[in-house]
Amino acid sequence: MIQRIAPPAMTLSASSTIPAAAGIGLRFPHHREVAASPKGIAWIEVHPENYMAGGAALDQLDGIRRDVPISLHGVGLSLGSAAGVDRDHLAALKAMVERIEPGLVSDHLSWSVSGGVYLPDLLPLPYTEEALALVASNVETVQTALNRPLLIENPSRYLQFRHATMTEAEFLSALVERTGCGLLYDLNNLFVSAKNLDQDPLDLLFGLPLEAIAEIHLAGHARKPLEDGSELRIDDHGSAVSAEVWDLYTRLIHRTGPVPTLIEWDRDLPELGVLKAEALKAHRFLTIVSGGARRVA
Amino acid sequence: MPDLATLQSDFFRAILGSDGDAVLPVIDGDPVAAARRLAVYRNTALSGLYDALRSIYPITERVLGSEFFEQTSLAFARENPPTAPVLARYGAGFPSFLRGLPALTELPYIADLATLEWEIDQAALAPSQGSQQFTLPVAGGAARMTLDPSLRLFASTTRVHAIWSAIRSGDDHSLSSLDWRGGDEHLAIFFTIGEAVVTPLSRPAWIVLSGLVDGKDLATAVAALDAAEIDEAALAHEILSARFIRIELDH
Repeated sequence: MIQRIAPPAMTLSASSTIPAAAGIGLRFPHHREVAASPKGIAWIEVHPENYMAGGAALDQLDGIRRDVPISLHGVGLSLGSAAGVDRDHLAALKAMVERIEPGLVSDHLSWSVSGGVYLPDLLPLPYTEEALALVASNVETVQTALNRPLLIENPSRYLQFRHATMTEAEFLSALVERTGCGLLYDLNNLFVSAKNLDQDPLDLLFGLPLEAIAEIHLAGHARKPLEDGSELRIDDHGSAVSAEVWDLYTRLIHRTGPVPTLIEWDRDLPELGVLKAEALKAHRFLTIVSGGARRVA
Repeated sequence: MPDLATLQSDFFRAILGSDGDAVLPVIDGDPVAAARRLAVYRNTALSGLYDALRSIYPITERVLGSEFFEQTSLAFARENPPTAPVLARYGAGFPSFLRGLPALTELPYIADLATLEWEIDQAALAPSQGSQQFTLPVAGGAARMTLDPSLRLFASTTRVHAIWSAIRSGDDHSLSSLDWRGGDEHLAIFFTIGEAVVTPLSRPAWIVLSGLVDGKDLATAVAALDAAEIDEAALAHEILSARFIRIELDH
């Protein structure tokens, strides 16, 4: 029996220092610039794994956190691993959380570890009862260790398993219900998955418990033509947010009201000003479209 | 249908090798389409490891050429995938992997060059505080010396520092006339003001500092030197003037 350890969204929003504004994903090349001039950046998000080795980058992050609210967005918990959560990695994450005191902590609905080997990708889960029980158990382990709710992000998907018995929305809804976790909803991932799996993105989006969405991610993606004339959308975080994803964003925040929103960019990282301009665009949508007050939470 | 543990094991085999036989039947769609979709995950995972190695070994990549470096990195990654998600610590075995490649026997310095790059990369990850301290008697008191926590020491029988410096600075003239042999280089690597610094040491200073880094006291570290190579004044001057040692005088 999995016990619910916190009600979703309400506890998250009450405890978070992340404003319902648009922030940016901070990458190493922008460290010095952000540290020198944090003005105009509402909040930042970093991957804790990039700082767990220590060094100058972690020292810089210590300085930045004094000026800008920080969210920790993990890529290494491997919440869908059949072997469970790696205790050493969880201890390292706990130490990071205690040091940085982030407003939000999140990771993905995916897995990356098998047989003691880690691969740097967010691998897909079959949406089955077996996987749901396992992920819920792993999420509970992490939430208990960190003593705070976790946000779970929907991954980009390129395939489906034949033996899946649930949609992603059903899976995430059940996970929220069982564990009290919140949702980090990545609208680029949603769009990429919908296109790749020939699904309607609005069905995927509005099948979710919107009140559990505590953060939104926006990013760009690439189009990869295939030999048979079809194409795959590749979530490469290497360009500006697409028009289709902005459309999904305005539709979502019209329903939810303002939600902390992040611009992510990894490949071919542009000048910081480009990220700030994307964040400003999101911020305008937040203030104009959503009318300034959270609706569903 | 396989249980989750079996599915994940099969999925990893399909990514790290080319054996997708076990996992393709459980993926929606015809086998050709399923293989294409599986390839997206394979490409992302392996290119992530390739990118991690490129970021640590840029000079090695310049020597080997982009195409050969990519092939070699992917071969290394398939044989030696990471065991933890902190990729900053991934790739320590890459120099040894290069040393074992028959195709690189004509570049006998390449493994040491890669080792130097690994040491440079790891120096940047050192904590900013805390390291070994030792004292040295000086006139009227003692000098308390603290080794920079990022200090790493490396020795090579090839001229890797000269090669590394020439490639890094784009000095093709020096590189073309460089004899990689006869190096016997003793190097200190440390991180300061946002960048790694590589500086040559004399062999005696390198031996003494190696002893200190290993936790020996100063007398024991100095005792490791041959009597014939001890020039106390020169040794004291080299150590006292090193940028990776902080000195405070006690009187």
